Amino acid sequence: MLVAEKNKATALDRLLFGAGGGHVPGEWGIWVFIFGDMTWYCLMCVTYMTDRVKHIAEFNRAAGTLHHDIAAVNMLLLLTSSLAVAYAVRAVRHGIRGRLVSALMAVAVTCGLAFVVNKAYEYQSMWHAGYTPIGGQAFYMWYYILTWVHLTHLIGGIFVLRFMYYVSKRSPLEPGDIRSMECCASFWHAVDLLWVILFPLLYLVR
Amino acid sequence: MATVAALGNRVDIKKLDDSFRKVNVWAGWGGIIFTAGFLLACIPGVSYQIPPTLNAMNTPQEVHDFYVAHTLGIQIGAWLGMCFSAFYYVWGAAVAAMLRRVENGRPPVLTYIQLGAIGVGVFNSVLYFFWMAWCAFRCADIPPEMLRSMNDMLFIQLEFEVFPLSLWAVAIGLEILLDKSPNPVFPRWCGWLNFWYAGLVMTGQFMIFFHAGPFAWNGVFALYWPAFVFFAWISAMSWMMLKPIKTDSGVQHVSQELYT
Repeated sequence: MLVAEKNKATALDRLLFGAGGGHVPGEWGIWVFIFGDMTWYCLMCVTYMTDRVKHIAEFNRAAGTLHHDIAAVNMLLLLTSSLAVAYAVRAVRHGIRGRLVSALMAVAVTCGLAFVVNKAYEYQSMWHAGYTPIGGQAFYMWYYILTWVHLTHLIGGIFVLRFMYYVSKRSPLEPGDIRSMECCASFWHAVDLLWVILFPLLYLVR
Repeated sequence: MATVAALGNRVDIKKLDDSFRKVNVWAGWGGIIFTAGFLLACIPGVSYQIPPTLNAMNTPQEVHDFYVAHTLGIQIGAWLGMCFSAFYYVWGAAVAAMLRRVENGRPPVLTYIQLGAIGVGVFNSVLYFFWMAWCAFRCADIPPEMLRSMNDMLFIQLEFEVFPLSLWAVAIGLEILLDKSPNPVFPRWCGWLNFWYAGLVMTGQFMIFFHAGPFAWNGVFALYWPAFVFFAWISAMSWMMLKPIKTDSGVQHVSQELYT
């Protein structure tokens, strides 16, 4: 643990991780936000599954019309971007700056943008095939709403990554800057996690 | 005793602190009074709006029969809600005033965003009860189809007009996170709570597309979840406004020169 972080360890940090080390990534507040957001998503997923049980044949048939290949590529894109963000944070925490961090952040942002392009193509293709959220089929209502809400998170996340890149360039870096970077990375990982849940739930479950 | 020049007069800082503390107490309670009053105005037995007795799939005649059968309760609910909505304004204005010092020395853009959004927020609440009173006012004489549309408007206005509220919460959240003073007005987690509220209160907006199911105006994601998020947010913020006063820490220790 960095010296500055040791000094800033809270009573809750010490309770969870002991006196030896470890800390909550970012700050407690970001986890209020992330867990609050996840609670809502869990509620959405439970309601979706309840609806699915009621119309299982219709949901299975409709799930077959989705673009599984695009969704799988998007999964890889987000996992790659999360890995890049994690290494960027690790590098900055250990005092490594410069082109390596810039390259890692560029990879993360590019993957995020590629996800948006893929999703736009997927929506356009589905829409032209006649699969719309207001066509009377419950599956497509869920598909569009769940993926749209995730997409809004992801677009917000790209701006968060841009802010993270800006913070990583500050010189000298202060403990508050590391905290900001960890908050940003935690949010991006949460966006990634949402897709890890949505991908099997919408595309793969039969 | 320390004094500062303010508005051309000599101002006693201790008196200013005491005055500010009293204002915060009243404003903090304002949020709680508004919350309780809003819910009281909507419960079954008064206006039957939360949980709603009607739904978006009701026939015009069913909506008409409901209004005729509960006219007085709905009118009393509308009156109560209209009165208690005034406290919402007091609360929002006090939050903006408490956070204004964060922008000391900078253009107070976030404070002004809050002040504008408070108007929209109060408008949202007031108009909801206004439509409610309008629906009940001459309900026996209104054609059922028209009454059903007016009842739809009641909920569309309440659940759809939420984006300015989100922007308001983002402004509050940013100000809280930008507060670098040793005794910040609100703890940092409150800033994140505002971002959480800003994102999730908007889930009700899907209601304009659906007449039935969880996203219709009486559904769990259009009505109950945004209502929970809203009341959790205003209750937590109100509680945090009262807490510094109880624990003798926080805003009253900040130099009041920043406000002059």
